[in-house]
Amino acid sequence: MADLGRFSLFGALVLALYALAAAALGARARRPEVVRSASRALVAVAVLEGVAAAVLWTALGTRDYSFQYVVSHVSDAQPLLYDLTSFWGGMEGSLLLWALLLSGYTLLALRSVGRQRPPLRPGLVAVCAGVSAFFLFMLAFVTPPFATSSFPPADGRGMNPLLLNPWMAIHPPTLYLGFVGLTVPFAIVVATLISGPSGDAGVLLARRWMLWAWYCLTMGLMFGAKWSYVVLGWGGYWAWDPVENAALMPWLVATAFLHSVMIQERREMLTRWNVVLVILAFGLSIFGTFLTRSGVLSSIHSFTQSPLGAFFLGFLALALLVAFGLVAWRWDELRSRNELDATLSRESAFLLNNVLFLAVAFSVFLGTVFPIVSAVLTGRAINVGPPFFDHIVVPIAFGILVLMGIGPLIAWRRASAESLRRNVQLPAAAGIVLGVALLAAGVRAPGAVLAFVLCGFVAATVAVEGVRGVRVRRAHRGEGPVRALVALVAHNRRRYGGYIVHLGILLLFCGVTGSSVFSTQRVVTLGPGETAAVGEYRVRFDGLSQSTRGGALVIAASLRVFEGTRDLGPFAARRSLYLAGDSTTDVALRSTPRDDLYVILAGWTQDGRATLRLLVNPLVAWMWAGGLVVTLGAVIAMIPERRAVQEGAPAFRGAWSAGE
Amino acid sequence: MRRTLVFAAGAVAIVLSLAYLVYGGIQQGATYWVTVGELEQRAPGTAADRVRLGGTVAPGTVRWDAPHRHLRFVVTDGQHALPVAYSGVVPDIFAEGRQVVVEGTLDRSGTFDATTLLAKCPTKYNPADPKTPQ
Repeated sequence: MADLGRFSLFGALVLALYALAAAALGARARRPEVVRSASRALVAVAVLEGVAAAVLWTALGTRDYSFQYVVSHVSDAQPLLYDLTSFWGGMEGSLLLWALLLSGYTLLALRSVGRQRPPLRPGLVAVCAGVSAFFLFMLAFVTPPFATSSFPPADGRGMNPLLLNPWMAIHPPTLYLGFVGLTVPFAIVVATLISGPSGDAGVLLARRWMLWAWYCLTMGLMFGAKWSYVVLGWGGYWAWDPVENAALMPWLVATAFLHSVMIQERREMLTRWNVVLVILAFGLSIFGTFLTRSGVLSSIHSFTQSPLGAFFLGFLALALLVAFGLVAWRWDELRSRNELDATLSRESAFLLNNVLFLAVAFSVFLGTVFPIVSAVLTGRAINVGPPFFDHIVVPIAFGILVLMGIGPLIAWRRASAESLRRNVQLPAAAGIVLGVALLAAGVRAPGAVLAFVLCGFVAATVAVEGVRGVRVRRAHRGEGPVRALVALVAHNRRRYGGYIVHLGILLLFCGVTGSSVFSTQRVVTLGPGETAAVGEYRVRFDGLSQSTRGGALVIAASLRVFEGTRDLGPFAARRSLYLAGDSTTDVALRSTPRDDLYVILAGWTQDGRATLRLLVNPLVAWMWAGGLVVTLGAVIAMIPERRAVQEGAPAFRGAWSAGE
Repeated sequence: MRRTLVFAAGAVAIVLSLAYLVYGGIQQGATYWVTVGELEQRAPGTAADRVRLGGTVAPGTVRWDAPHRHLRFVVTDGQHALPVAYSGVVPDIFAEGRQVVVEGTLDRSGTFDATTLLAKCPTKYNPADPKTPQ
């Protein structure tokens, strides 16, 4: 069976290389039947990768320990669900998932883009085949997932128990959907650059794909944060770890793109800039995969010292060289048709927003590679920790919040200071009222008050926009308020979907502010019956108990929580000890919209005393709620608008005439 | 013309503020990576600056005082060894023979006072190298 998997991957590699060559030569020789054959080869690549994936899944599901990959990630004691999700628990499987997802995206893109703009077909086939070929080469020669051993052990080692968690089961595929999804916009843009002069450089076509990839990255980051929060037991959800940064950087660039693409759509400006953003986002997705896989940086996550890094960097360099070479070649044709009319306009607000997002991305990049850069420059590796990132990112995030409020209020092309002031008045007043209320309620941390004031301001701008739209509809059509709101959102899905995403991001901001500024914690050692207070809560320790579960010894501290005089019931913090020496924390977590009570069993003594770490993290639940709201907004924004197609059509019309 | 000037001034202002932020961030957050051997060669008490030290937890050296939350162990790079003292929450994946990163300062007695303890996860994405015993 391993041979079937191996041969599928080899066959897929050969076919991907064929598709690359056939698409390039077929387009050059103007022979559409050769290009058609190339796209058919990509279908075969997808099928063969599907076979390889099925082989690996079957081996994992049947616990076939003759596969080394199965031995490393599966054990008899492990639940079957996690056997199956260990497909992406290791490097080889993750790369196979990459290749498989890429093929899926490729076929979808060929169907939809190939239909909308047939001239892009050869380029699209070539780029997707090239990227596929790289991953298939890695799978065939560098990190083979189907390595077998002739003397299979009786039981496998299983995954690290920390990874046996539902959030960790869905986090990697979600993130990969985003990472790989960034290849499609890249392929569209590169294909357009290859195929010839075009009005929009394929950027507008790439927008929807980018939105999807952005959404998947957002969810992947949220799932990862949730996992870190509930499983790792350190009380936080974000540590500026290189692996986290790896996913954050393309997210930031994609966010910048989703804003600046609106300027290109409305004003036919910033084409070059958008093309560069698409290429950067793709480059960062490859770099992110490299970061998480190569172990070039010390991280809690990555450690593997393998030859993978050289291959990844080589491929990345080649891809960027080709893409930027094409941009340079087409530089004059990508010129903007319009210029910025005024300093005070929505265009310049978006431009500044882009600059700020890229500044964050650059800082995160710098901080992530700082050990390498400093080792090369000074001969000594210097590490920068969370203070570095917080110091840079927090002020820029405030700037982004301000722009998030002003952006929707400021007019396109040329805004008058007078009208901007009029529009800002009400939301600004709302923010200030919120700030005064917080100060009156005893909130003293200046940074947090500022953050909440800005969040209130932005939320009020969204509310004002919504109310204004509803009023117009009601005046013109006499609809009821609810009906008018629904119709308003349904007829301007992208606009209001975007606003809803903004509201979700605001919730996220509030959650991050609350939990990072107002978190309280203490470490206590309690005997049975003793009580410790933290925040508004009192936690009583009722004793330790032992049990076994799934091959682990579980030590549980029974707790009871009180708030004032109210008994909030029993509660348990556990720690599981595995034979291999691993241990995992089962956090006792009680989550309310106001705050999370988070208790970790840090240690215990023979005489039955327990050392507990008690944390109260305010507003953490708002972050997860923010994720749901972002989902709602993104889904609304992604549903195609019929009007958008009609609007877009005239803009594309001139794109293929020779004179453009 | 005026608009170009405004944008140029804006760009310069943004680059300068970013540079200032990065400089401040490095001042706050930078720590040198050192090896156990390098740190051992320093005279005790002369190195008060924070450093980041990577190595392996020497087997049989871990002493954990749960009620007082003190952890002591010896970190080694194979040739040199250094005692480490740490108070705080110990990561789940911390164990003898595992790779760790500690951040802190070397005190006068030659013990490394760690304020941060990170353990490298050996099975995060890939099993540990089969050549190294677990």
